[in-house]
Amino acid sequence: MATTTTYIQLNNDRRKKLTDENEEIYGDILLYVRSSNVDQRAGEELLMELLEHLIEAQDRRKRAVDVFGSDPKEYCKSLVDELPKESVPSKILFFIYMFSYGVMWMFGTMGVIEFLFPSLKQPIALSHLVLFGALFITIPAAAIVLMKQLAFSKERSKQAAWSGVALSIILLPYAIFLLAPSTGEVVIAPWVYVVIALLLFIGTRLLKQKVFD
Amino acid sequence: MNKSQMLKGVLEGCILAVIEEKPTYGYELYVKLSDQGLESVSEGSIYPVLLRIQKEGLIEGTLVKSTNGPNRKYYSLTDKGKEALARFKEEWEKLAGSVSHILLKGRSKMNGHNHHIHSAEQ
Repeated sequence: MATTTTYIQLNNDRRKKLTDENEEIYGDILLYVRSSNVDQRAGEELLMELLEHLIEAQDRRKRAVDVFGSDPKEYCKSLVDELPKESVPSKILFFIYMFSYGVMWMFGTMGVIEFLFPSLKQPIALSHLVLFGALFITIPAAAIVLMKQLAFSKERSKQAAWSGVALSIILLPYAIFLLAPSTGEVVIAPWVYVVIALLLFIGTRLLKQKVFD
Repeated sequence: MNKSQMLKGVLEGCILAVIEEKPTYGYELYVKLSDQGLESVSEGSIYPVLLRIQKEGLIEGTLVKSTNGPNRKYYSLTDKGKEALARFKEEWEKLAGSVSHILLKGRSKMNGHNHHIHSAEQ
């Protein structure tokens, strides 16, 4: 049985056959379905089916609007309503994955920097660590909500919103360091960071198969 | 009455009937429906129906992969689907019978009425 990842790769590949106009409408449908609360596999199977239909329709000189109607957002809603919902365990698994992935990168970077530049080494507040952890859950969650809102909106507003997300990813850690009270300062040896990062690397690899099965 | 609204109610039964003949994939299903006169079915409108009847267990989909061509999901009828189709046919026959009865009776009445006016004018 094909995995969700295979579907996504195949979809990216087949999508190249679409004309620019059809690609734009299909791209929004893709965004809407993927950011909805639906079972991942069922969602990808449907997206694949719609894509193949659109490619065949395109060969007969039909346009996306002939296939999906003049109100594609409404059409998407009618599809999402009928798709099976994502189960709670798989939702939890997804957020554990995102959280571990974020922490892996943070600890990995901190460990390597402190190894290379020991003079930069300084104690870290537990309160800051907790806030960072919270970011790794709230940012992906906010991005999913935003993605659904942005489907079928203008290219310019999409770009503006994603710039906002990128900016907040860069600025929020500084804001935490500068503004949040630092309680419970601890000194963590660089190798501890690296070991945790390595363990999380293995963990996320294993988890990836479950999250994107 | 909007033609497409009328069609909505019978689309599910027609889809089941087409799939019963042989396993069919989405695009092929649309072509078969429109070739047989249901041209007002918009292409994409079959997918919400397919999803719903799949959820209800009336049909099941099997993905058939090809190396360079499209991957197609072929739908076939389950036992539950066969039962649902038999029920639909039965209900449709009854409904179609009564509807044409009502409509045709109405027409013959109207014809009679027209005839009456016509003869009065004479």
